[in-house]
Amino acid sequence: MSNQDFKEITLSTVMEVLEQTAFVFPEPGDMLEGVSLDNMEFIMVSLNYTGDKLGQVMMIMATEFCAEIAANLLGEEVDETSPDDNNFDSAKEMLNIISGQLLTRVYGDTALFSLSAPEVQQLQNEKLFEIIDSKDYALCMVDEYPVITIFTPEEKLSNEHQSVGR
Amino acid sequence: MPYNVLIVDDSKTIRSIIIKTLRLTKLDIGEIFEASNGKEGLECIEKNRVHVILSDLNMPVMSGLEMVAAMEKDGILNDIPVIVVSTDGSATRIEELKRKGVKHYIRKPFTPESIGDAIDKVLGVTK
Repeated sequence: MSNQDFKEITLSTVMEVLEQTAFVFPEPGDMLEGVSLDNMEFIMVSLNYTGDKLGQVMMIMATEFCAEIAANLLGEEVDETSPDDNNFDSAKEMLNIISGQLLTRVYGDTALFSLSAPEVQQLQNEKLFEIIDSKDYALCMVDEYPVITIFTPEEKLSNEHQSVGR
Repeated sequence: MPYNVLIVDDSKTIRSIIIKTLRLTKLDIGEIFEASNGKEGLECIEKNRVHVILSDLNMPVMSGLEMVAAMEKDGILNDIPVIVVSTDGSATRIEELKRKGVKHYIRKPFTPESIGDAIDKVLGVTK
């Protein structure tokens, strides 16, 4: 599977899960087409998977969008003053669900995996721009909010090493 | 007869979503109990009349499978069916869970229909 295939499967999985679970309507995005990151703070939620294959899934989203997801999941009004723990718990669950769906789509339903507990951290702008520059992510937009997902299976890392070696 | 449901999940968000989803089903739901891991789940069924358990697998302190094993040991697994609600979509895993006594499996994301049908099936409500 090529890196582009991984990216396309990641994007379609993220969009479907966001729509079905958080009741938002994402569209594929392009950082070159005027996505504004100004005045937004971002978090990164990540988990590792082990088992038949190894790898990592990370998702980056604005803290305001996190509050929107939490409200939609719980069927409540958006409350940006809600404790971060509530909003982060929702972001962790979204990543859990996305990762479970993604691994089945990539490896089939006989592969066995264990997912680590998702972890959340505030993302510094420097790190965010580094990720954006790498172009190694799937991006969708929910209104003005970018949702960046990075799927890093071990074979993708191998592909990169082979490319470098060529 | 209303059915008392125990939800075992370390995520408060997921517990809240399941509670809301249960209320959208056509089932006659009585009391809903919550536990954040298998150990709390076992303590809850000791103290309360629970008809069915909806449980996650991966939780701190005691996992869903460890809880099922403890219920099997205590001879109560046949009395209180356990439905696993998890992100894991592996057919291999689902077979393993059924061998260990789990009565049904629901994959996240779920719908009121999938939750309602699963409870309906394990409790034999309409069958």
